Amino acid sequence: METTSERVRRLIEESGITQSAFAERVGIEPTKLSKSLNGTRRFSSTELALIGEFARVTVDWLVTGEEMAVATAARASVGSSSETVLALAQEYSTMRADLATLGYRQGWQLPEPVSLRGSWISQGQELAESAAKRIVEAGLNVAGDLAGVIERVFGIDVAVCELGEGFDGLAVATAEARLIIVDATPIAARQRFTMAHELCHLLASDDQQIHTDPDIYSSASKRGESEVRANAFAAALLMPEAGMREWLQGRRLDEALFCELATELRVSPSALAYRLENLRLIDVGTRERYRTITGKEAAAAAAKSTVFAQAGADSMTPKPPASLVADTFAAYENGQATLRPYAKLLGIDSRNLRRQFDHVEEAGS
Amino acid sequence: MAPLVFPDNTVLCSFAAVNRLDLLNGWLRGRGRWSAAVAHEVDRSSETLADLALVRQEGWLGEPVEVDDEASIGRIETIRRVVFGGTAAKPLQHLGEAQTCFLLSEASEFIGAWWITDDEDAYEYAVRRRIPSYRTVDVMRHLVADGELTAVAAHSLMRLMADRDRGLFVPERASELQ
Repeated sequence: METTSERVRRLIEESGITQSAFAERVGIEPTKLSKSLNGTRRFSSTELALIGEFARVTVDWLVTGEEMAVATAARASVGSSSETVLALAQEYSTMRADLATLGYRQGWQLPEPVSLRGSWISQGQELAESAAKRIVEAGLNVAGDLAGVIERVFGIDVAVCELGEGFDGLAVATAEARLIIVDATPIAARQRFTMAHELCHLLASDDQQIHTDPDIYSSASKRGESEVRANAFAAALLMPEAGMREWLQGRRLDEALFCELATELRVSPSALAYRLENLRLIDVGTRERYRTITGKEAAAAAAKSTVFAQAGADSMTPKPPASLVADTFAAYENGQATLRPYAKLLGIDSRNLRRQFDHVEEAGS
Repeated sequence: MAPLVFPDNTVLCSFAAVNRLDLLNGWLRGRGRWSAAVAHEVDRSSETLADLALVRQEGWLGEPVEVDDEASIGRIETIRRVVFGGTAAKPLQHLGEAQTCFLLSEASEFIGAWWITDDEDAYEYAVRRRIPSYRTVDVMRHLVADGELTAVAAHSLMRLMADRDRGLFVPERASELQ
């Protein structure tokens, strides 16, 4: 098995500089580095942190040779469009694992696995029915706060954050974490579709640890088998056949009603047009006409522009993962951690947060 | 035997900011110690507060305490993240606090030693974990009690530290230092 010294030696080789130059750049005495590499002394905590900082590896990896796949992916993504989301995924997953050492576990509750037989589309629909049943049993529905529904019903964390241009979302499944991260976007319908899409990846256990979705609507995404399933799941979950048929009963599905339905379900007209055509509720020609309507136009036609505007504001608002928020605060309250991990999730300096906690509101003054 | 004392970088910077590290050194009377990561932080801070270089040059806090067994290194790394909010991707972030916390709470030879910090988060945590913990204000009270400073002089120094952007607790009145 590779030792810490061998891993450091490998990093020196990969850096392309000499051992003495490496020591100088890292900030370790060359003789100490030499002795540690030769096994006559051990690396210290501070030296490993210095090496980790310089070589962009974690101390855990230097010590054990092991790290979460999300950490490996995060390191490999530096400079790419997925750098932001993978760094966040690494941070949240590590926090989740660390909180487990204090006795705080996420405790997700996923539905019983379904058989996953038949076409990818039918698998997605079957998973959606199973998920929808759980949501209804919990007395909730998907037309409202979808992130809250996923967190409350399945115990899966959902985070909203600016992920950079052209990155929709990601799903993470580690030993201690089930997490969805989606882009903060003014297009609420796209964000909701992404959340549902990522939920499917987790329910279907599509990847060992991490599943990235730069663009869930891209043609590449539509070709991947698990992507087809996840899109079918999202469509069936957000636009349930039975519910739509009931809503449409006795009404003529013209453009005005179509716009009202898209606004009601908080989905994009494009996604709804495809869904209705797949359900044979409209023909291909109608689908092509309806799918060019924008969400903003549909909301205006349904006299729901105010709702559209607020939904865009809501979907632009960053949101930290609920269980991390709860557990970092509990760890603070129980004296097991400082206020900092909780403050970090809120994106606020812990000193400012402390001032605000200590401030007594003078009601009526 | 007098307990060992681990002042952190915040405290050393507070005294260096008013060019009175001699006061702190006198109060320590050779009891001062520092972890290797705190020594590293002090070295970096000495780029802006030149007086800090004296701490290492004069050996006021002795040889930095190193931790080199892998189990302890792993434990420090977990403390750094879960207690002090550091991230895996930035291994030096809050390492000084994590090492000090580990030494004072889990290393048998240092349990019972004092932690001196002006960081509110670290101080609050240490108090709640029953690690003997003090701030610059407490050091000042000792100095006043020992006759090294008058309460008014100590209070003036603390206000000067605050004016020089050292985030530390300063009592409202000099009399609170008596």
